[in-house]
Amino acid sequence: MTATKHHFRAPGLLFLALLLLLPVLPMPLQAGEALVSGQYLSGGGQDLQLRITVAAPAPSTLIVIQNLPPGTAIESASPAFHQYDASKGEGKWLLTQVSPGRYLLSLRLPRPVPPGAISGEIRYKDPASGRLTHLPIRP
Amino acid sequence: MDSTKPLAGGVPMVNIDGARIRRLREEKGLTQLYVATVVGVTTDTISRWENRRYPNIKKENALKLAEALETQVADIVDHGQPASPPEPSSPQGSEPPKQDEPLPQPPEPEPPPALAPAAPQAASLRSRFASFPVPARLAGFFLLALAILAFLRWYGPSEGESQMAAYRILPEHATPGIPFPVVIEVTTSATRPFSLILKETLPPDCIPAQGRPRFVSQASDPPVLKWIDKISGEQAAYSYLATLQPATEMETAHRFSGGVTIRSDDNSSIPISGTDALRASPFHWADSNSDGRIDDEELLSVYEIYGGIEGLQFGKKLIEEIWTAKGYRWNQETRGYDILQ
Repeated sequence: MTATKHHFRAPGLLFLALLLLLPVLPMPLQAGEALVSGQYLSGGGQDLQLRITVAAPAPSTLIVIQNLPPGTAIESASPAFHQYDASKGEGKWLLTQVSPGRYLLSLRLPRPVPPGAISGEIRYKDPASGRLTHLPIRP
Repeated sequence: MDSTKPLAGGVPMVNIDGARIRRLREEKGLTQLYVATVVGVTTDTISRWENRRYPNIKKENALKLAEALETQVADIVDHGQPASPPEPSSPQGSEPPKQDEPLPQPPEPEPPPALAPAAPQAASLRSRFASFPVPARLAGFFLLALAILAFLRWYGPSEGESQMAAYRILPEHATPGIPFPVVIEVTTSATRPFSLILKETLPPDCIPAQGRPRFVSQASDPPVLKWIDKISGEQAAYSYLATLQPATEMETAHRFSGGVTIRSDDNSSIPISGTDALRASPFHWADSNSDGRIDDEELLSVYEIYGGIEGLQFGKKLIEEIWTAKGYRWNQETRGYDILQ
């Protein structure tokens, strides 16, 4: 592959202005903060709802992990869990072909759970860096 | 006059117009290498056809030639020529070019029709040029230099086409009998669409399957896949599934190779970089660290690389089954994976 030769002739004044502005420019956000976010709309009781917001450029696949108190049974999950280990209280959703937008994941339990007893995590590959990102979610 | 003539053996032959073929090829900016690759013959054969050394060719080759020249067969047929000796079946028949064949040299230029008068003519021109005043001679040189520069700029390799890369993504290992995906990404900074031919040679004990987009299977021992495409964006991906023969011995290495030929005037051909070897292993190709399970990161990697390729059946169901399980183990007797729950 041949390297491209760029003829970049920025005026000195513009360069100086950029240099002066550099300290006040916002730093790039950490991976995960801008691309994907998760929020519990209902983080306790019998019905749990988790809203995931995905920005562009979207990672193609997300793994959403739901942690419940060990031994918790599940009445229903929408969409269905790909994997649920009741002894650990850990369920996994696999969301593929993800595009920018909002996704709602909901869970119905036979018995209510206190908000402090649940937590979640979103795992995905950052499209820019290819790094695995862990994004914790709490009610 | 009918230009199609069957040979004694019943093979339909066509009288071709070599000069017209050359003109069409040059008008479209195609190289002899490009046309030869599309037709499946050598560049020498194309040269012979253009120079009318074999004006009778197989109809099948004429069809391919017309396709390569992006025209109709009628446009390359010489309707006014009488029947000529038929094209020899070897070596310029439908024999595919060899994979490692060095880039062919351009055809030898036709000798000038008459050499004898050339020397007096040149001497006359020299004496006429010497009679011009110095400023006129300088202006002449300047115009000549400008013409050479313009020629080089016009016919030289275009910026976009020379800035191209092809990269292969291949699992590090795969289990014999279990299909694995291969992706070849072609990136370019070209600003206008251009045609390319991508050739991929698989290891001899590898069976190619589904291709996205569809490939033309050119040979089987070793398997050679070919794509002819027109790129209009910055990136294009060519993918296929392949399977190591079930009898392949474990822990043996298998090499892939390939290249991209660009439709331009400079006979550009670049090799495909990236991963070029795969090892036969009892571990699933998605289990990249060979630890007997597919973890979250491995699953996400598989979906990031192959999940977006529409229609490529790379075995999602089995991968997800292993991912949700505690692990898996290759069973030599059943030639399948035992899923550990």
